[in-house]
Amino acid sequence: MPRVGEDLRQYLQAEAMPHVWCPGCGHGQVARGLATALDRLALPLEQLVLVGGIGCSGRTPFYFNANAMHTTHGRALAFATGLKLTRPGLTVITTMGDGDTAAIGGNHFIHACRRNIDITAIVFNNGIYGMTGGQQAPTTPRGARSVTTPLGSIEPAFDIVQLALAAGATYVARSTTFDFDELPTLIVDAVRHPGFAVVEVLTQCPTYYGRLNELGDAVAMLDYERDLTLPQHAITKEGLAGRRPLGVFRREVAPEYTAQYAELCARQAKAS
Amino acid sequence: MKLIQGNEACALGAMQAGCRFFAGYPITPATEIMEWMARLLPPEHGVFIQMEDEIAALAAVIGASWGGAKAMTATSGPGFSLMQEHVGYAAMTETPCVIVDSQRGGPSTGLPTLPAQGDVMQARWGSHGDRAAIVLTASTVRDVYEVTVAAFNLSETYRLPVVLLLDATLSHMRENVELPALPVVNRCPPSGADFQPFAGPGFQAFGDGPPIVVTGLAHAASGRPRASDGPNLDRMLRRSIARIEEADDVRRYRGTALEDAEHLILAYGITARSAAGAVELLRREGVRAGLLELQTLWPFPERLVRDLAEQVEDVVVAELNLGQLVLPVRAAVGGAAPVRHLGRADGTLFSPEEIAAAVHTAGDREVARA
Amino acid sequence: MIPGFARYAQGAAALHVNRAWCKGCNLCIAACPSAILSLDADQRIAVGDIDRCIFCGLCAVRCPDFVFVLERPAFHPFEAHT
Repeated sequence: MPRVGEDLRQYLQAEAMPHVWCPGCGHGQVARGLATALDRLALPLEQLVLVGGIGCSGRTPFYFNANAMHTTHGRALAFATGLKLTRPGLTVITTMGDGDTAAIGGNHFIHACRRNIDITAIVFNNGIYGMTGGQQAPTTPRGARSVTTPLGSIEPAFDIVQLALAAGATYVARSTTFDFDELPTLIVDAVRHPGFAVVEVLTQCPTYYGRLNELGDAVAMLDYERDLTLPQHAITKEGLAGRRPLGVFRREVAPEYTAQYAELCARQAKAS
Repeated sequence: MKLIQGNEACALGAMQAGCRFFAGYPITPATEIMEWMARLLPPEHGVFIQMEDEIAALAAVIGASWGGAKAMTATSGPGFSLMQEHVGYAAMTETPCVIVDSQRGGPSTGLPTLPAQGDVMQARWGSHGDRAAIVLTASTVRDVYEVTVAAFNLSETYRLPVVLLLDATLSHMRENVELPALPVVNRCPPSGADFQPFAGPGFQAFGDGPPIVVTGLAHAASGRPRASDGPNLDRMLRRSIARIEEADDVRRYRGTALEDAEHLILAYGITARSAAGAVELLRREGVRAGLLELQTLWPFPERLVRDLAEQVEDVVVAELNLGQLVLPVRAAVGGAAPVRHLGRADGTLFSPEEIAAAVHTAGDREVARA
Repeated sequence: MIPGFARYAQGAAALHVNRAWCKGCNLCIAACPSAILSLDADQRIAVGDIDRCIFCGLCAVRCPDFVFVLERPAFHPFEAHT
């Protein structure tokens, strides 16, 4: 039975702690959500590979007691694709930022969605580039300030859920660091889903996004996340009223890439 | 005997070497390697995947290598340029893999269907930072097969990305060849109770033992990041470079008529064929010319070139670029002999006559100077 | 005892706190319904009157730094629906 406040140390790499993230950074809460999910999934950790990109979110694998592959900016999914195809028995989870996912790695993201390869992508979306000091991201909302948009962004932001849906991902969900109970549930769901699964997590960056946009500290930013979003079941006839919907947006079983590839090999081996 | 194309020989060499993963992106003149791998891999339960770009192709290759597979990609200049960040990642993470670059005229889209040898320096220095690099090349279809096997063997032995430079002509050229089974080096398994994944040749793939950490950050032998420890990285790079420099199985070359040579022609890849023709022409005229064909461009065989230069009157370096491998040649030769460069970037091969003429000119100059 | 963690007991239950990992972000303090958490002079977590703790676990789920571990008897009402 799921517990609250459970001892998750067996999933953590204690010697790497405390982690690199700033005080109040939501990435630690996403990491806790992931650790909680691993506790529920009861996977053998030596058969789990966490593949990180570059940036704050990319560091996540270092703090886990599983295999860690810290790759290059935006390319975590491309590395993960080669690995998963070679070792379909491994559970592969990527931890990627919004810049990783929707800017430099946008191409890899949409193609991983299209291929439907059995990888879970956890997208840490804080709407800004944290590691490099608060620059605009493709997810920075129009009007929001960053150090490269000091007068407010004039670009529309990518909606990662819509992007994943349009590109064909077969499991797509969104949660926030406010939703500590739903987040691990969605990650468990996503990992069990036999295909490409995207879990976008809205996470607070109090150091840059919060400060530059006068949203207060981490405590205030969690309230901001709550007010910015709406669970799908709570959507009334008034609609979203500018809020972002949460929950599962798609869960479809479709032919999975590594399974199809194995079939293709078996067919060709038989024929030759 | 089999009449096959250079690119097919490359794919067959890869299969013979035990390659079981290929990721690529179509590009002239390398595409046939990919097309062959798409046919050859599935019956062997190997993986073939066409990725969304060359950046992803090399990333997938590295991911597959950490899954335990011998892995390869093949591309040409524009794709090779895109791959450079991951060449560095593979070097930093000591990942065995093979990258084939069938060279075409550059820069940029350049001369897509015409041969060149303009990626020699990029293959050595294209990725940022310092690293050990092994770069091979070949001049015949039979050599393409053999050197592809060597590329895999060296990448497994030294845990490095190995680059194989072909060119548009060699890739598309057909020759009648024998393709014998060649010795294959397999990945060194992890050993010892205190095994460290980055402390030597022992390699543990993901899932084959306790969890491991792989990162492009500077790291300890354990794999854990040491992102602010400069001296640790400096030590690691020096050790890795020294290993290649000191190795006796890395520098491949072929000498023709060198014993009594007074004029040395240094060439590699497709140009070595014209150079061999030049040696024949010159010898017929009574000119004692000899050819040093390098199959390993990097690490550069400094001592070999220096020793040969000391025995000859002059050196001609012929290559299909405007002056790349001639730079380390000049550095190695020093004052031992004058070095003349014969280069072009017009998508045309040298004829034996052109190279022979360059040898004559080099001699004339020497006479004039004396 | 958990190595590196201080243990604050209330009967059979206990709150384990790893002060060394705390970064003083205030998230647990704001979440604690019993208002027993505060920051000390080093801007790290301090536990006040543990007898007022209701072992809801909100400090742990809000903490980005894995500072808290709850040790409780087998059943807790909060877990029934999670």
